[in-house]
Amino acid sequence: MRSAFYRAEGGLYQPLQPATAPWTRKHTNGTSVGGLLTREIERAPSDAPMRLARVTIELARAVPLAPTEARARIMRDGRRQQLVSAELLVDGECYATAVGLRVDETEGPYEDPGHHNFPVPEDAPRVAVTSVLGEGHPMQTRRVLGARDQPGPGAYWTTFNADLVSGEVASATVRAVMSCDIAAGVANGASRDWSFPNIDLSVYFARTPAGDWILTEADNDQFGEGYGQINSVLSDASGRFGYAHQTLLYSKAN
Amino acid sequence: MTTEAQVRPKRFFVPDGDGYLPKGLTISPWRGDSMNGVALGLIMSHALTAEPHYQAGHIARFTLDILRPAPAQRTTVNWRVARDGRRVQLLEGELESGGVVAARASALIVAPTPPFPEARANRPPPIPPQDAPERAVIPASTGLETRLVASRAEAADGRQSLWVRVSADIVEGFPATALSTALAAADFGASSMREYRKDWTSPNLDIAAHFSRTPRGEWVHSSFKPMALGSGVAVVDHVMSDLDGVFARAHQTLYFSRVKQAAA
Repeated sequence: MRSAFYRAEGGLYQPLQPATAPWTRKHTNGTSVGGLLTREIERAPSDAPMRLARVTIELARAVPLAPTEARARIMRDGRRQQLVSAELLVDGECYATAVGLRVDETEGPYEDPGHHNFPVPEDAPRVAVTSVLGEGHPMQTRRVLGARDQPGPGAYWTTFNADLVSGEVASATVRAVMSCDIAAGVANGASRDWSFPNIDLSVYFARTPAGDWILTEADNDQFGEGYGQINSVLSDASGRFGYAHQTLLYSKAN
Repeated sequence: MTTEAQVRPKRFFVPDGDGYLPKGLTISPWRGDSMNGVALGLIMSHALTAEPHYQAGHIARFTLDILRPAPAQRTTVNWRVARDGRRVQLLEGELESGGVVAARASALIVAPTPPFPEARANRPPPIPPQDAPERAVIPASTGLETRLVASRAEAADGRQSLWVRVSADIVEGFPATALSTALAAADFGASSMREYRKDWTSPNLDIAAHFSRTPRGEWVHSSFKPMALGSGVAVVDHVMSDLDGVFARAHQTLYFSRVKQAAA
């Protein structure tokens, strides 16, 4: 059976081994939290087919590694746009929230967004973004630029050998959100002397991504005030499709 | 004789008890009974700056969702603390006018504790506002002073760039802060879609800004370009700077409708 980040059980989501935070083992990692919140927003009912245009995820509070309830609420409904909030609760307490802007599927002008100059994933070296994501991890990454201990730009491909929720194929939108959550692994703004968790993640979609692999091209703005942003451009095999940002909060590593 | 003080627009809003009354500067160019998006961002950020949490920290993210046309009537803005923490606070705001909630916003505030890592290199925009050509994108009578540095056609990288200054008070006696000016500057994305105006309308559904440091000064520079992939929306990517260099990235989601559809 294919591996998964969560198993649905009695209306709750049981986090599985791939959802474990690498630092504490008592919490769920941000990648899984962002994925589950985005999935919940995508599942909200709508009168017409909708797609995600923006999602903003609050990650400041660690989510316990325990059966998790996911809820969504439509904040503003419409035929063309919908604003949906989602939250994750453990034992009735809210730990993470998100807001998604959804739009109907229509047409519009097209401009060539440009294309990356990195090798396609099949030709990229089998170097993971971090050691945690080594061979056999359900989140498979191939780093094509940058390194953990080099402040500056970086890039990596991501694909998943696991479901987000067991037995259910995760949408490409969900996988894109999960992919860019680890951009600090290639584009941090400081040396290893500093820790810098991301306290949010915002992703913007000019179209719905497609295919198995997502490319995250990331850079970092950090100007000495103790916080900063990772700014990412997202692509699939067809080209660029969106942007992502993460607020990093810096503190001296122990 | 007409003096400069008489012709210069003075304020977007005047105070009215616990709310505000919109003045002529707030009127949308598309709907005479509604407020424009710049006015919504200005008044929501103005109200935010009075919040103690905002004053004690740094703004890291500001997201404004425009839910529906905001009637140009008495307006109230309410911010509440959605998450309180020692180093991270989340505030959520609602703008109500004419009895409807027309916009929502969220603000992520951070209060990092020293020491801080050494800053990465930054550089100011190539042309400061005083040297930029006096080419306005919109008339100064809007309460915004603009200086177009380069149109998309003129720029080698296809990014339009301009300086923006909010010349009128947001609320009588309260000039714009750098945060408010940044939100106003991030509202110019649709001007990069001029060549499509014959066929498409493209109002923005939101404005979101991601800050990497505190903005400073009266002028904000935005370099921006739309990502339009034929799907019904474009995401405009703004790089925001002040005289010291980059301080934020911002986005707008532009929603396309065929001109004929919009008129129907």
